[in-house]
Amino acid sequence: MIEVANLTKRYAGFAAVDNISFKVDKGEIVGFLGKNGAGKSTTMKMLSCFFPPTWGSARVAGFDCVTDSMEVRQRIGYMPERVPLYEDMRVEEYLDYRARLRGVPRRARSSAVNEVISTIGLKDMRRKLIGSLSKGYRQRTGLAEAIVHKPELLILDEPTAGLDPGQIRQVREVIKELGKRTTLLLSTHILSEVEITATRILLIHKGRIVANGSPGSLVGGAQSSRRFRAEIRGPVAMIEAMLKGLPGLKGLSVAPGEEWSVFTIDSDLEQDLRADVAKFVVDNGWDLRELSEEKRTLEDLFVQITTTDEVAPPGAPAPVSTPVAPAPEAPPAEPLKEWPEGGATS
Amino acid sequence: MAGRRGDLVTNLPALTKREFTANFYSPMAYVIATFYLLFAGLSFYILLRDQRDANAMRSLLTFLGFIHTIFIPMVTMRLISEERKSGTLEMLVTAPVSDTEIAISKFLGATLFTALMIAPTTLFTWVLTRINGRPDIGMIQASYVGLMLLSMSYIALGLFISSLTANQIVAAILTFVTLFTFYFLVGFLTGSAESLPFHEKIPWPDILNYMHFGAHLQSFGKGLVDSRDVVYFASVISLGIFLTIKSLESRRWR
Repeated sequence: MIEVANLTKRYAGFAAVDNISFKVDKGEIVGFLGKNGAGKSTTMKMLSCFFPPTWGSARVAGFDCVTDSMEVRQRIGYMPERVPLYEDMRVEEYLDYRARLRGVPRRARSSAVNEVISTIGLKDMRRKLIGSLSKGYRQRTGLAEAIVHKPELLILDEPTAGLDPGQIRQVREVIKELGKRTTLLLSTHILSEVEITATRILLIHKGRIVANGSPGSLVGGAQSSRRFRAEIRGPVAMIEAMLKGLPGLKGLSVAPGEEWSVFTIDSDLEQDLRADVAKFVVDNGWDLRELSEEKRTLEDLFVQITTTDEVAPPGAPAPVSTPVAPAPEAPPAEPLKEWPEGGATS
Repeated sequence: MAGRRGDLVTNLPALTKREFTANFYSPMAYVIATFYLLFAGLSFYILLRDQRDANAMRSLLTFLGFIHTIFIPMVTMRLISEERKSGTLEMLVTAPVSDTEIAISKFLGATLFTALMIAPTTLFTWVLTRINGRPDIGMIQASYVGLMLLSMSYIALGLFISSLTANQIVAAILTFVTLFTFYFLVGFLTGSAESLPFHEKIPWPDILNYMHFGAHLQSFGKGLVDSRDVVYFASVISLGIFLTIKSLESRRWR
């Protein structure tokens, strides 16, 4: 449904989108994940034919977004981040107008509008001025507009941005329903959202795709190592030396405190070092206050990848295929290598 | 801009309808129209003291042509600026409509609104008929054609300027300055062509006179619809619309 090859958008001096390539098959729900300014919206604007790429190509349903822009525009539904709507129109009137622009034939129009109003849950609002709608209903109106012509591809740029938790749940339900009918590309920086709705995640950072896979595989990738956290009172240097001798240890970092020091221990997936650590501490007569395993989530992956550049020393090549980033407050004793090459692409 | 065949026919009515009706959703339109008609009525009243035939209408319409340099910018300022600011322009240009259709529909929407704003002044002709008996209707009709062509030129230029900025006030002021320049400054320079550079080699008066809006209105005031003047206004209108299309397209190379 979408084929993007070497897509690049350069503005004076920097690349908002830097040579990205990906494919989306029919029926997929792809979550576009990244920080603000990572290039999500720029990519979506190129796919929706708002502006063309600097170079590279984007194709939707086999049509090029630049040379066959009209064909592409007829096949997509697009909701920009700010959900721009004509405030002075009524919901029904607006949907009818947009359906007309989208080429829905006159006879089919009122039924198409009615259908979309009931699907999205706008029945009570159909005669309301868009300008008087709450944020949640505005968002729904935007969604209704995007699907009124039954597009093959739906592009939603941060559909839940600025909504309250209740509205987010509602909009998310609507999106899930829509995902059953069309191919869907949605961007967000809310991780739980893609974990719930998306079948695949494209993680974009600084204009590049840094991870591409199903939520399960990405989180699974995150769990290729285990991380434990121990708070121990005792001589830091000695404890560190002892911990380094643990079997299957992959990384160790210390945040020394006045009394209690926090040790972050990374190990192989097979190893559960907690018993060993407890034994060590007790044997040496130190004190143990906390010993726990940190469960990795998509959020860790996200934070880890997207904070890379802030932490990496200047001049260091930005890790792309195997992002390695220490937690800011606890520099690792040795480089961590959590993310397998398979789970991430450059 | 790559258009399908028949595009212009399919989308233009819908777009134009939207552009036209959008005028009435804001109180601005009513304020503008009210002030405009008050102004026109007052002017006509004053003109009637000296002239009690078709000349009163001609003077009125010529005067309105000047007044339009203030009123038209208020009509055109929101055309694209507002959509740029609110982001609806993105919705518009990502819909399967061409930039040409967008520009033309916005032009037509504003033209229809202006025509509607001018329309009540035709009542003045009826007043004249009551007073004078037989005013020169042909002369009045030609004056209206001239006023409409002039207004459409203003609209086309205003539309283009509105496409350059997201700020409506900036658009209005720039449009006013541009129109005022064409209406007055060019005429003023014609009078003092001797002081312009290279005036020995370049026929400034001819050039300036050709550029001058007012010069092209004169024959309409005499009851003539001269094709040269129609061509002039048509050129200005086309230029304004063409520049608007290019300005809309410019997002593609920025």
